[in-house]
Amino acid sequence: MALQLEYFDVTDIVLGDRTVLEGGTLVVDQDRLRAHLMEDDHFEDVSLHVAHPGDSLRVINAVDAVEPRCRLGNGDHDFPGFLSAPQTVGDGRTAVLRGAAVVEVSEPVPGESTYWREAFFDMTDSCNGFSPFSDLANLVIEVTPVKSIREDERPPLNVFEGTPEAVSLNRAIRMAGLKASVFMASAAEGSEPNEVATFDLPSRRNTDLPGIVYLYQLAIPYLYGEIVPGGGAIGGPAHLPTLIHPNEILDGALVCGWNAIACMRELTYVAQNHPIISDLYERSGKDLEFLGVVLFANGDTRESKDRLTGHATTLARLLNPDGAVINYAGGGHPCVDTMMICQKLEESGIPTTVLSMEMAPNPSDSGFVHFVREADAIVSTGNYEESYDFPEVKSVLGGTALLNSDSSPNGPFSYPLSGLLGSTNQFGFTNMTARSH
Amino acid sequence: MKVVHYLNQFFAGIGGEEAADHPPEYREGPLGPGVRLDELFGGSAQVVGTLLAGDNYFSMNHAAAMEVIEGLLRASGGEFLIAGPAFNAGRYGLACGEVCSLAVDRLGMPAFIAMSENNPAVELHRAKVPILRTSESTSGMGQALEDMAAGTRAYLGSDGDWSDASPLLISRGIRLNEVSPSRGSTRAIDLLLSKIEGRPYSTEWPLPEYDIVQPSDLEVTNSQPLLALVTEGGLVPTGNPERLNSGRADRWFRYPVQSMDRLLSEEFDIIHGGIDTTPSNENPNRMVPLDTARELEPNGGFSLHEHVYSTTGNQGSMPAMRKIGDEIAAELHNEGVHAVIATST
Repeated sequence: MALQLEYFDVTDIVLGDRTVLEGGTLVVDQDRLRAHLMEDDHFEDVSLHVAHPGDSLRVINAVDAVEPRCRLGNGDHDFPGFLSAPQTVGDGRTAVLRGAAVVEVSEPVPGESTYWREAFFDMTDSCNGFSPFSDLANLVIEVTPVKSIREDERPPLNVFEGTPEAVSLNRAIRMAGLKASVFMASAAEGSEPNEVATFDLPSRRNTDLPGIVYLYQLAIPYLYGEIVPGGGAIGGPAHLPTLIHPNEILDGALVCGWNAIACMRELTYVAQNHPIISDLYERSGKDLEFLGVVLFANGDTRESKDRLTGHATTLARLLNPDGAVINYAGGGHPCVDTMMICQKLEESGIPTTVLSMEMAPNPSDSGFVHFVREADAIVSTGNYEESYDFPEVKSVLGGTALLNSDSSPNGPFSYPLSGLLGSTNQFGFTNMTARSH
Repeated sequence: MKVVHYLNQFFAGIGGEEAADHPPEYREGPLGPGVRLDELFGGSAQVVGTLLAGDNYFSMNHAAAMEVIEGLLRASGGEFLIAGPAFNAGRYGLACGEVCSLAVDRLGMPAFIAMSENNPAVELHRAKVPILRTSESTSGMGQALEDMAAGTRAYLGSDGDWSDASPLLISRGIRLNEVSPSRGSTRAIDLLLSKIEGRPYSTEWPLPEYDIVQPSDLEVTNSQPLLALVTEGGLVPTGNPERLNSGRADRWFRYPVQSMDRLLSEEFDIIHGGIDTTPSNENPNRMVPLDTARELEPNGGFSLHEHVYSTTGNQGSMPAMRKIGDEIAAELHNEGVHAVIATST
């Protein structure tokens, strides 16, 4: 199952009257794209903007970010479960507009919880190294929902979901990002890519190299269009752990499912460029051998955690690994499951590393939710409670106010990294870390 | 670099314990161990003056002492403050910590303390002020002064950065973010390969060492022991008038329950932000079992304390929780409480 990614480098996005890729400049036919997105009856209005590195610009109320991509050739199925039937992806050819992103922004509606909704990033260089979107050419899609949703008076049902209308609206907003992604990437069809890379797992085991499995903790994403539930979070039992081909993740099978804390939001863009999967592929055949990926969601009772973590560990062991990378998706329950898997693998003689963000409101607090003694090789993706000063910027896209701060969204203001989109990403997408002093 | 040296009156050569209420004063040039320290600087820094005070004066007249010291420090023209070595002397260490914190906070003056790892002042001040490790007692004076000179040189040589001096310093016990040269995923794989291949490796996030709290022996000798109900479940009077935090609590409250047979849902709320509070708001006795305690009280061989105690454990920081626990425990002791039922979420 080989996936060929054809990279087309993009440094600029221009709104124009046709869609074409010229050199590194992507011209987007704004009327056609807007009309395409307005087909969704959740929206009263959709407006398109561009945000480039160095602009004195802040993007707030972000929902998701997507890399512009489209599958090439026959039987193409982009973002299966959303824009096509949920057919398997991860083989064949896919065009990638490297250096570009689509970001959807929308102010929260009354039926939606704002508890974790704050999500912003700057196009200035103030967050170099830990803001994945500050150095990309972004197409920002600003959505205004129809009045009936905007002025719904019912409160959110719970912090995860909100009213059915809010859930449906959020899915539509994500869908708009996916549609724009395919619309933009189709401009590359027929052109010569800047680079082509092929991704495939080894067909036969090379026993000279350590075999590595990745245990991928999910935070309620869509997988082929269906939400993968974590235990208790959105009702019903947690999804059973499963083996998946890493190419499926890279090729659009996984889409951001809900508006978790911005620093750890399970962004579609990050799944498409999954850093652990990309790095394991990059090094496979050199200093390791990439064996595969086990997806797992957390349980919410002692019993379900025993079952789910045992099952995830067994799946990993079926691949006969020499070591395992495990990520923690953030939150309370998920940490326990990650640590249980770490312990079970270590007890069965398989060395592990755990990627974890830290959450310490006070720098002298340890910031751990839970740990096991076996977790002796943790990579910290940074403390998301540590505050940073964000500068004053000339313009703001995505709304007129921050949700959890009285400061003007233009700044300057101080805010914990929790609000900065993708900053302490749970897969180690950024260079952020924390150190003891 | 003009260094001001803080000493207590004993090390400055002004009497022993009988002079421990000596008020703060500033004298030009080095005194006591400062003389040797100044020599060890070898010209790279100079002890321009000595700030001194009695340890007792300091603890008895705290506000006044701080004000005087701030004035003396400002007038000294010093650029850098070194306090101690205080070894394991508790009151001296605390004074060093206060003076250095003042220098850092109010004057923006870099400062460090020299004392032993077991000095009680370490826990209070290490997050803010660098602390250079010394022996427990004055027998290590010679080494302490050499280390203090080396630490000062390392700081000066690296343009105001303490990292070169770090082998000499006690861990500050804090974690700060930084941007690594490589991304997290790459570091995780590097770390894993080192671990698999038996090379040395170190975690980026050391596991904490928590105190193990041994539940005390439940044997109560009093014939009618006094029992208190304590919770971290976020119990508050309806409307939460005192604004107990729903997470990261920094406070606790007690509520009189003398006249109550049970907690009424009209009178109490549960505001804990980490759980589904619906069932306990319907019946707050599910969080704090006053109803059952009252039922058992007549024949149960205990009497209930007149207050229940409440804070919120959700997302609590360890130092804040330790402080809240200490304060509640001290009050329970004072009130003669023999036993506690602590309900947790």
